[in-house]
Amino acid sequence: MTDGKVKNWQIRREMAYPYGEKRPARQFGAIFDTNKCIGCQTCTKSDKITWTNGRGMEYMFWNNTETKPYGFYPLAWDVRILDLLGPQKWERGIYTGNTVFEATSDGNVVLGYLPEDLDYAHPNIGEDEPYGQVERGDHIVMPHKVWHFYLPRICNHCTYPACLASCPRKAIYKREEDGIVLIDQKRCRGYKECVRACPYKKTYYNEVTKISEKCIACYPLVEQNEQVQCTKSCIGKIRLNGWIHPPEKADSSNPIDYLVHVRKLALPLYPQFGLEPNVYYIPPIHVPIPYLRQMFGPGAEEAIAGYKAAFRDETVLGAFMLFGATDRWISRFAVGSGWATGYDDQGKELVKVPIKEPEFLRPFYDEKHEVYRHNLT
Amino acid sequence: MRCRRNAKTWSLALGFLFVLLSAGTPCAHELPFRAKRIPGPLPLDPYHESWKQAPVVQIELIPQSITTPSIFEAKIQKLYARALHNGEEIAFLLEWEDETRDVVVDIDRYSDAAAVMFPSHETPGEEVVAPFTMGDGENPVNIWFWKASWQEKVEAPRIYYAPDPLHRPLRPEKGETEGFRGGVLAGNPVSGTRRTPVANAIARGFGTLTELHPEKTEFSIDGLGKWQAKRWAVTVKRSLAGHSELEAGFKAGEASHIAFAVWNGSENQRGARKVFSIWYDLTVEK
Repeated sequence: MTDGKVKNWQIRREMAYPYGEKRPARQFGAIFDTNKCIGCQTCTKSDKITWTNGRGMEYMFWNNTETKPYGFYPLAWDVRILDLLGPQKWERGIYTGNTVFEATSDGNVVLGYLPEDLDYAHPNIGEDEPYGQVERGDHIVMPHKVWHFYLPRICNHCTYPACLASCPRKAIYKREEDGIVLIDQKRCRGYKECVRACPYKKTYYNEVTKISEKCIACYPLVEQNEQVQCTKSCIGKIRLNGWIHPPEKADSSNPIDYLVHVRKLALPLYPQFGLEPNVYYIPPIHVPIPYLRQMFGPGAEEAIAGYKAAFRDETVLGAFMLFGATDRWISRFAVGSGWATGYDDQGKELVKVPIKEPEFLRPFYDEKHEVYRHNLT
Repeated sequence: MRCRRNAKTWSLALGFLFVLLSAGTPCAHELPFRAKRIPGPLPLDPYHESWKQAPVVQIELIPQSITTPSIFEAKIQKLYARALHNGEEIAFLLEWEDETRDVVVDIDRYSDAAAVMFPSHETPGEEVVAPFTMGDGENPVNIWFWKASWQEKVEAPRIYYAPDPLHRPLRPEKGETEGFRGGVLAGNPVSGTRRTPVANAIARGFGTLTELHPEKTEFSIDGLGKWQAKRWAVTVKRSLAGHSELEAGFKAGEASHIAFAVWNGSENQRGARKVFSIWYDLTVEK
């Protein structure tokens, strides 16, 4: 085990990691717009019937959508790891606290905890439960006084996975071609070190096969240049898959890079853990900033301001319109003359969508049918 | 009498520290460890009369803190070992105090287990070359690994072992296949069925344990563990000759080496979180 120093751009500093820095040729990424998520669980269901419908997977959700602040799967996962980590600091955008790799002790590679069996038994705990109470005279203010939001979660296919770092058998690997993190089902012996180590609790122990399993980012789809199952099935069109680069290699024609790096509208989940997770969230605009800063880092306020101003910016709107617009994997995009176009790796057009839906104005009186049109339908 | 130790292992800095720390510990009732020769079949039952003929050796076990993950404290610190052979087979009896019988593996439960380890290759009369830290790249070791949860699996095979608070359908449903059991489809021996509760494995250093031909039942190692009066008694038994080049072979009248490890399920021990010993001399009686 080496004590390598690696660059983590999300916390804007070098940090300790058991292995050296080695970024894959391309990195799987995604953006989830929490403002558009209605908590319908279609993503959860589509993932469940695609991948986790076997024995020992009954309470295993590679994709889950939990209500914040009181929803957790498994129970209390984030508040428990935050509590273990203790109070930590960001100073001028740089994380000066300890990551889970730096705060560890007692012979463990990563600071973590192993959930109990029953922590997985209530995947919808806290669902739709808001924070706060409505009192006499209350009215809507921003941020909301009484609030909740939905947080859809998959494996973050981290640049510095804690599961990979903690596996004593090196049974977990990150693919060079797309950065997807996988557990070798032949090599795993079910020690549950990864379940203990992953702060997002996105590796799961299968009690029937006696080994651990996790989200595979639908790699058979990614290999065919298709977006993943939970993205494709999202009826709210809140998700977009694509390649994410480190900021110094950001390509503004790539919609993921554009929204994450150029516009800084989408933020990583708990960047202070130090894993450089690769699923990015557009924070909910109605939630108090201190909560969002804890969850998404110091960029939360700026991201919300940018999101609120998006209606004035055709390029941002164009990027948003590509969410859920095609099953294919969008590598580049262009916006112009009221249209957003998504392209594949080869520059071939995949989809073209209007930034604004066309409006049709029909006269009140229909001369052909000799009737008045009422605005009823 | 003090344990003989292997000079090669001293090259490991942490191993060196470990040896120094344990240098003052008397480590045996009777050393070297002798596999007593008896006529007739060897017992599988750990409470069989024949075991009384074999001398008992007390083995010192210490928490594994050389590699990560490490442990620094453990309840189990001693193991009592005996060995018998009959010219064709060799059997070991391992006994240790354990207040709890842990046989279920679940998200938050772990199985009791024990293992004996031998160098895959040895030159009679020479010091052991393979490090006691599960061998290394050039010096593989052969490990016979008994696990209480596998004992349960062999004796009463079923889908789920934990008491079920989650209300799952416990019986196979009509038309149910093994589809979506990743470990089974990948041929992982941890996920598959077992004929005996003992895995026959090799290793070339920490984190490299690999089971040998788990699909070939004729090459398996037999074993039986019983927990009585807060004490595990476990036997493991195999032919004197190894089935392949990487498996330890024994010959009557020749000296060899053996090391031990125990996992206590109630202390969340698994994998590298274990208590283990250094090499002990093992003599197979003529």
